[in-house]
Amino acid sequence: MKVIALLFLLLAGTALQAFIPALTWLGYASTPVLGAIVVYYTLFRGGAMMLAAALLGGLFQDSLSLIPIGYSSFGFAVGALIIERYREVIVLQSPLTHMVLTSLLHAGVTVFLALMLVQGDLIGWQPGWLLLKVGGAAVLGLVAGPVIVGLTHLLEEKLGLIEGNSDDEGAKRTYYGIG
Amino acid sequence: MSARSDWQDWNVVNDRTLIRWVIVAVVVLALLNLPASLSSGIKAMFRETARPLQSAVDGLVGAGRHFFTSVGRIPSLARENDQLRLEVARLQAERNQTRALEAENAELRRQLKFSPPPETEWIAAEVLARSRDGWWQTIRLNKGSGHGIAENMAVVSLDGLVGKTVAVSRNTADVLLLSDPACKVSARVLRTGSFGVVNGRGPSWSGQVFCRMEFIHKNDDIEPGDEVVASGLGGVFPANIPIGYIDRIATDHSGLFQQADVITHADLGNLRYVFVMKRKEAGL
Repeated sequence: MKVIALLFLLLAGTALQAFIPALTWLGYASTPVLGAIVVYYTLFRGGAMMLAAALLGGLFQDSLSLIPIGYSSFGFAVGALIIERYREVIVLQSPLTHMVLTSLLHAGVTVFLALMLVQGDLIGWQPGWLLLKVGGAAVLGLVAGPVIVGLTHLLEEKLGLIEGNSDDEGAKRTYYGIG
Repeated sequence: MSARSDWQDWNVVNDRTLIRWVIVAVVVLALLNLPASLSSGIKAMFRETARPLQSAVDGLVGAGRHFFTSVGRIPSLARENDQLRLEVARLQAERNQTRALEAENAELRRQLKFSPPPETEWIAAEVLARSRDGWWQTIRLNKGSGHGIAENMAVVSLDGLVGKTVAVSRNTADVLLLSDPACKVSARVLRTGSFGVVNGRGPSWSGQVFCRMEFIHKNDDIEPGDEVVASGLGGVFPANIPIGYIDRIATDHSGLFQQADVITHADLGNLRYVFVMKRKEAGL
C-alpha cells in the first residue's frame, strides 16, 4: 500500500508540477511538488522509500521534459541522502523545516541541472537568467514546501499509512493541527 | 564494552549510508546510460500518458485566465462597449481596404516563394502546450510519429519559421523554438545574400521575442529592415523560409563580423497552429 501511495503521489506530483504555469520574474522556475514529496519521504520514511521517492521522482520529472533521464534522479537522491544525514538534529514537524529543506533541495537541484545542461551544451550559458531561476526555485520551495508536505502527510494519514507505523515516531504526532 | 558497542553502531550506520550511496550511484549510472531508444521510449510513454491531461489543463488555465481577465474588466465594460460600437463602424470601413491588402499580401508571399517547397509536404498541427520547465523554449504539438513527424524537421507558421522538432512520440512532438539559444539556423540576408547564423536570445523581461544573426561579414552592406531567410545549409531548414527582419546592427567583440538583432515574423509567444515540413521520399 505504501508503494502504491508513493507511486500515486509521484504521478500526481509530476502532473501538477508540469502543468503549473511558471512565472517570468521567477526565472521560469517550476513549482517543487516532487521536491517536497522527496523531502517528506526523507523526513518521515527514510531508507528504501526515501531512495525510491528520489530516484522515481527524478525519473518522472525528466521524462516529461527534454532533460536527459537520470539528471534529476541524481540531484534528488543526493539531496535526500544529505538531508537524511541531519535528520536527527532537525525538527521534523515544523513547517519552517519543510520550507527551508524544500527550498534548499529545489535550488540545489536547479543549480545541478543548470551545470549539467550547460556542460553538455544543451542550454546556453545565461548567468543572469540562471541566477534568477535558482532564486525563483528557492522562493517557490519556501511557498510550496509546507503545503505539499502537509498534503502528503494528510493523504498518508487518510490511507492509514501513518497509524501503527512504529518506525515513524515523528509522523505519528499531530501535524500542523491536521493529524 | 560500551565503547565497543558505540563502535559497532557507528559501523552499522556507516555501512547503511554506504549501501545507499552505492544504490544511488548504480541506479543513476544505469539511468544515464540507458540506450537512446529505451530512453526516448520512456519519455514518449510519459508524454502520451500526459497528453490528455496536458490538453485539459491548458484549456483550464486558458479559461481561468480569460475568466479573471473578464472579471477585472467589468467596471470598464460599458465604456468599452461604446468604444466597440465606434470600432465596428471603423472596421467596416476598413474592410474593403483590407481586401485589397490581402490580395497584395498574397502576391508578396508568392513572390517570396513562401509556399511548400516541392520536395516537402506540410503536416498541420495544433499547439498542445508550451514548455513550463523554463530550461528550453519549446511547444508541444498534437501530432507525432504516427502522422509522419520525426526529429529535426523544420516547423513553420504562416508567418515564417518557428523552430524544429526535437522529441517525438506517437501523438506528440516537441518543437524547439527559434527564440531558444540552442536553436541555430543557417540564414542569409535576402537583399545582399550575406550569410550568418540566427539563434535565439532566450526569454526577455518584456516578453518580446528576438533572435540574433551572427557571423555576418563585416563588409556586407546590411540595413535595418532587411529580410532574413533560411539559407538551406545544414539540412534541417529548407532554403528561403522567412525568418524575420533585421532590427539593430552592431559589430561583434572580435571586430571581424557584424551581428544583427532579428525580429521574427512568427509570433512565437502566441502560436496556435503550425506546419511541420516533412521531406518527401525520393521517387514520390
